[in-house]
Amino acid sequence: MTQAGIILRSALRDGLRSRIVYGFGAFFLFAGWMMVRLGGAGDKALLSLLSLSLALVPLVSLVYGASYLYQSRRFIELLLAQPVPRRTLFLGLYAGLSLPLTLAWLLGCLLPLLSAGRSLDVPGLLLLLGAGSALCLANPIDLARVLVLLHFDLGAMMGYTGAVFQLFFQGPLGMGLAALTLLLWILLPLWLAWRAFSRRDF
Amino acid sequence: MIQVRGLVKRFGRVEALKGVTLGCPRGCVTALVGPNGSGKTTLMKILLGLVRPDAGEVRINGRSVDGDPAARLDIGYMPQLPHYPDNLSVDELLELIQGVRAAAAGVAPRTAWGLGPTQPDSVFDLAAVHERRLRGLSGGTLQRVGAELAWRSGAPLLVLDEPTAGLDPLASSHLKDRLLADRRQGRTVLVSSHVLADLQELADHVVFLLEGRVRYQGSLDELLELTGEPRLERAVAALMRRMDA
Repeated sequence: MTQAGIILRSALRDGLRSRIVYGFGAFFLFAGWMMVRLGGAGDKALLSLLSLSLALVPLVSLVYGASYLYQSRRFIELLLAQPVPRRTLFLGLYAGLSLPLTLAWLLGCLLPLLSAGRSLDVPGLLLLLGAGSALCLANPIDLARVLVLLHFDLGAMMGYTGAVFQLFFQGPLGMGLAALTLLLWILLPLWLAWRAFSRRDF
Repeated sequence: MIQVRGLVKRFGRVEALKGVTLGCPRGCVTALVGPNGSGKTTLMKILLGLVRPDAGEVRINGRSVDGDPAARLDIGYMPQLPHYPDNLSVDELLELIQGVRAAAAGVAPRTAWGLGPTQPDSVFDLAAVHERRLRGLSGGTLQRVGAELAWRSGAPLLVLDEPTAGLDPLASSHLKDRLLADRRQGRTVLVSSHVLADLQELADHVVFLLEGRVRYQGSLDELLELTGEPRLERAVAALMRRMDA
């Protein structure tokens, strides 16, 4: 196994046993179940879950990530004192932090919808999941909201702007551009953090 | 073994190291002493590649440590007051550290690095806790885990930061015995501690740092002779008084 793999495995073990991660998943499980119970597994439930995710996922990721790194500072020093390149260590820790959260969120959202027998259009679900995963990594809230709302043909919720957005984002070009921008939202902060991590003093 | 030349490090306006040049001879236990804020920690961090110097360089076995992670294969590090991931077990931590070291050395990692019945004995008596989560362990046990990590690295150079802090007398004397045995076998050790009485038992070489400068380096016996004091603690105090005067 490579060094990055060994670090990732270890970070995953730690993350997948964390009570915060389980609580996070359980919250979405409960919220999803409530929405399905109250309004059925229609688009409404999906969009409500989206709003909840847009508010909570960035906040929880930020607080969880920051407190984890703050607490692990001495441990990171110990790892850096081993023959590990800083960039390898950074990527291993990053993936080890974001994957358990993403997984908890995914399962928390998916299980209630699936258990309610939602006849979901797969692209819609994938979009919601994609947006959520991106949110776990960075914070492109409005773009994700626009994308998902438009997919469900609810542009009217955004008034006139929605009409313009609808024209643009519903074409393959608009969708592609939006998806690309979401991806940039993940990669750019990652790259900046990577650079800072490999240069700073510990 | 360790050569430090013209090391300068500034943190903002504070100059933590003001041109430090020193050497740690192979097969010796070198004690790094000095009051708080003298630059001991910064020096150790530069040695471990945690902090980048503004000028100067550190060579270990002739290899510069700055920007070359492989140079750290030669170092076994025992941190001061360690913190480990709460949800990992002792075995899993050993597996992580030894796994990344093996991967760096290009050695195929063993399937298990832990301390189970089929594994090699724990150097620091961790057999009873090897499956326990790190969260539930006492400070002294965590300190022994740190020592185990350093010793198991098999590295020719050990860097120990306050190794006896938090250890009970039994564990502390076991650690000192190990150090002395390793020295006889030619291992090089750099140790910093506030407990100078501990260092006197172990060290044969002393580096005294004050305000970012090396104020003394040489053998322990010479230092005692120079100051006319019987104990390291008194000798260091005498040196500091001399600097003030």
